[in-house]
Amino acid sequence: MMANFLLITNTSQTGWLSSFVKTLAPLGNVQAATEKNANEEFLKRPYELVIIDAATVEEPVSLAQKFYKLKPDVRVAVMTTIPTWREARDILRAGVVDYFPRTLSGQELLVTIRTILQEEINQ
Amino acid sequence: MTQTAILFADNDRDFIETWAEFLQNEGYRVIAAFSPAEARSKLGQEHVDAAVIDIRLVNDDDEKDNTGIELAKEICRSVPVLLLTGYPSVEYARQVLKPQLDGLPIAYDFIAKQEGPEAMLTTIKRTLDLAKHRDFSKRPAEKSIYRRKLRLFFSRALTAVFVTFPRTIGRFILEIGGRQPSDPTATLFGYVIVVFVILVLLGVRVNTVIGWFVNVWRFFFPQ
Repeated sequence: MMANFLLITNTSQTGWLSSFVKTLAPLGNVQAATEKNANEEFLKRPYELVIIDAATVEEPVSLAQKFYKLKPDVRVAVMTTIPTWREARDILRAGVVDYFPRTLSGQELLVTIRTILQEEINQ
Repeated sequence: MTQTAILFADNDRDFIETWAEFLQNEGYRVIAAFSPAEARSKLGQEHVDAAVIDIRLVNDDDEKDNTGIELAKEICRSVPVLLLTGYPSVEYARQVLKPQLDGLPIAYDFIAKQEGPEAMLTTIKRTLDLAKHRDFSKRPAEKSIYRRKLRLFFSRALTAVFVTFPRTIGRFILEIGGRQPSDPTATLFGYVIVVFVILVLLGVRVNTVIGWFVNVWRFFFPQ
């Protein structure tokens, strides 16, 4: 079954964005939204996973919490350019399902997202 | 009033003694354990309100030593756990705070030894406070876990019946014939075989069924 992903990013790097979308294509469809229209996009349809790009989103934790308030069952993952253990802790404390570097290779990203989806199914 | 009991597990005796003194001054009762075995034994003997466990519980210099995490995995559904380390890393944070297969993380929190006593105290208080809202005999996410398991069961059953089964049969037969079919071809061929078998089981004569298939084939591929 194909999954629906919502990517929240304010990036202007269209190359990165299209490569991200292409990488996840075997797992499902990626809908990108900016932080500004995140809520609107989030409420449009059910998403198997929301991915927040912490490299461009200012407050990933509060954004994730906003999503949890709107739909408590939603799963949110956060990716970042320079991962730190303190940020990892803060983000995971907020109930986010995973925290991973934005610099993962296509294959690594695919494995990471597949694992998250698999965990979701196993739960 | 009964004192809140904290199991403190670390292989460094001096470290535990210093922390025990500090926590006792803050009103906690500290149960010290210097090894995983001792921690298990103490947990079996005494009531513990929370456990503070060092990740490298056997050897501080061994970066593969995850005995603290292993211990936490064993006990975390009965005692709130706070994991402690002198070597904080993103990987440790992910390992202990990411939701596990039952939807809950191993530890309530994760703290670095370098963060000092105030951070430790705040984290212990926060852990105890959070633990008050969790019924350890019944996981809060249980209802949604059952719903997801049911959904998983049906989705796997449907996939097995409508995709995997015909594809396996189709692939098996085509491979006997020396072909290497793609997934869609194998699935389609599998469906043909399944329909054939069903019709034969329903009492239609084999020759008649073959005749039907040949006619359908000719209709789609006249040449």
